[in-house]
Amino acid sequence: MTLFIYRRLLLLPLQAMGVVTIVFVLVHLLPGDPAALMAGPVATADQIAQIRANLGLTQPLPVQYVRYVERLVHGDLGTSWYTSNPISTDLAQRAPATLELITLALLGIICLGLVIAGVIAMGPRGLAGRLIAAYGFVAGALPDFWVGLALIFIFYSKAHLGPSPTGQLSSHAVVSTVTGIATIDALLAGDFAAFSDAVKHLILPVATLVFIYMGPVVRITGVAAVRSLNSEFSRFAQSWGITPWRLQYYALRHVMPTFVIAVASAYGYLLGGAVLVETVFSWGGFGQYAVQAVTHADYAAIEGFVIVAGIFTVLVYTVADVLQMALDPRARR
Amino acid sequence: MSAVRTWLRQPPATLVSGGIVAATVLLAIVGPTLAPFNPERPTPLVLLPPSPRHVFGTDASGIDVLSVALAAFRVDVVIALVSVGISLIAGIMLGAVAGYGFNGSRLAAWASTIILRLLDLVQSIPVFILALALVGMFGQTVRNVVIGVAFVNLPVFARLTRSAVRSVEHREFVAASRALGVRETGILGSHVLPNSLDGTIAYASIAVGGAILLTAGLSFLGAGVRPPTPEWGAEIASGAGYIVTGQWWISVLPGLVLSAVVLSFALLGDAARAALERAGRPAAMPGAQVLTVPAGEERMPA
Repeated sequence: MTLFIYRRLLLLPLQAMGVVTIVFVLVHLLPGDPAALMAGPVATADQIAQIRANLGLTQPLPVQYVRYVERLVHGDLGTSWYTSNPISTDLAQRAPATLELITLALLGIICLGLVIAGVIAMGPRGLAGRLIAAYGFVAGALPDFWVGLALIFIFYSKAHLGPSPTGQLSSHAVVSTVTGIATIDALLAGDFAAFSDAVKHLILPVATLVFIYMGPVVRITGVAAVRSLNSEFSRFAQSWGITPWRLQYYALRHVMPTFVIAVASAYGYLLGGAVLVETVFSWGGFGQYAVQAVTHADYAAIEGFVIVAGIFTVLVYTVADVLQMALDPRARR
Repeated sequence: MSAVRTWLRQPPATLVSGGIVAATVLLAIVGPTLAPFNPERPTPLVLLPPSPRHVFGTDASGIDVLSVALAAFRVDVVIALVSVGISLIAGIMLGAVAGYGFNGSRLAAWASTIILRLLDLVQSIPVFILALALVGMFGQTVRNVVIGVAFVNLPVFARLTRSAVRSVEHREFVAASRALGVRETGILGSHVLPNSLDGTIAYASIAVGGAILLTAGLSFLGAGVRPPTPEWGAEIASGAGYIVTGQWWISVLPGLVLSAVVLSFALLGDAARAALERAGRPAAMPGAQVLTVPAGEERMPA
């Protein structure tokens, strides 16, 4: 089995190169001078010339491509004209907040999703099963940013629960940045008031993401669970007098590979959803940086964001595939 | 008469969603003329709560929210239909070439591998992020929103068509046509494709809903359709700042209209899938399977 895992891992650099290549092609498809675009609307001729030299734009395309990859390997994503920082610094500063958001949402999806899929498996035609099916459709049709706003209205504007729904911490709670994750930084500082403040800020955005992105996971896993319980091997097990609980356990084991893949694709979607939900909650993470880059025509920052997001997704899919191989012997052909 | 009776025997969800989809298409045509007020001209009547005169209230510029929500049908629905139309056609063509073996042609096998790898590349970037980047880079115009949404949807259509073509190409009628001397492109075009498109087209309905969500999301961020053009996501964004102070109607009500439309397209697509299944022609629907390419297809043709 390890051989299969190694083979899958070997694909990873190829996929990462693929992401980089797509972005390179897109940037070169852009109308106009890439150097002028990267430099931003307020750049001087000198700055543009500097960037042109850096990018090697006077050289043939293959040479440019090699230089481009070389720069990326050294972690050089260029400089944002808008924040005037290196993009790698900007992204590294903001990534932890986003990772916290989407990882907590993912944990919520995994825990709740398994329970709900189990409920579907017990009775897909019952009331609970139908309600969950309806939830799946509704979650797929509601915009995540709208759900975030609706939650703010219900829980903050009407019920007056919790702190003002902007950012990761209230303005009175200040903790020194160590990891960039407000909850962990507060714990490190031993400031429990700030920790509870940070947790309260997390609840609504995480709930929004879980509500929206659990829909497809539940639907896919539920269908797989029903199929598994109706399969011949289940009926065979049943005919041997196996208890319903044990049967459920067999089905769970059978559904796990599907669940892993569904959750992994949810993680990819969460990153996209975070862009919108961060904007609603002024989260100040990775996603809001991307929006700022788009609205200020900060091409170098958009480019850096897409590359990092793409490589992150490829990593997640790789982990999912390896897990799937571990769980499902059929995937190890 | 019997057609009407068959239609009425459909499950209620199909009837309702079909009705809303039909109404949506109608509203895309006549919506702007139904708007009781001018959806683009500011008035001094700002932030009025819903009332008989302004059923959805007014926004911060004093524009009637119902008028915006009605006029936005033309913008959002047309963007979604056109972009899904483009990705449907392009996806079917790519998927046909990627799926059909052309009677074991080596060239076709290579083309198939290359197309699949390219689709993998495009799909390795999350859909919303790719669309945002495309619109951000190429400029925030309606045309670029259409192109961006079409581009990110294309891989799914191509994969659906490809798997359907692969399951049809070994049927007897294909062999029969071949024996009769029909050219491979002719077999693909007039026998294989017509028999492999039903699932793809059923999915197109779901994709229209997804395209509306994408367009609204981009516009919500200020990266898609921009005010004063009436658009659901942009109107939700214009009310976002007023949610905390209790003026909920600007964001909430257009969002409900949008969701009802998206939900109906999804339910209609699902009803079509269920009907195909009942007719004994189960259609592949994208779910988890798009992530991993089954082993054996990984290899380049020897």
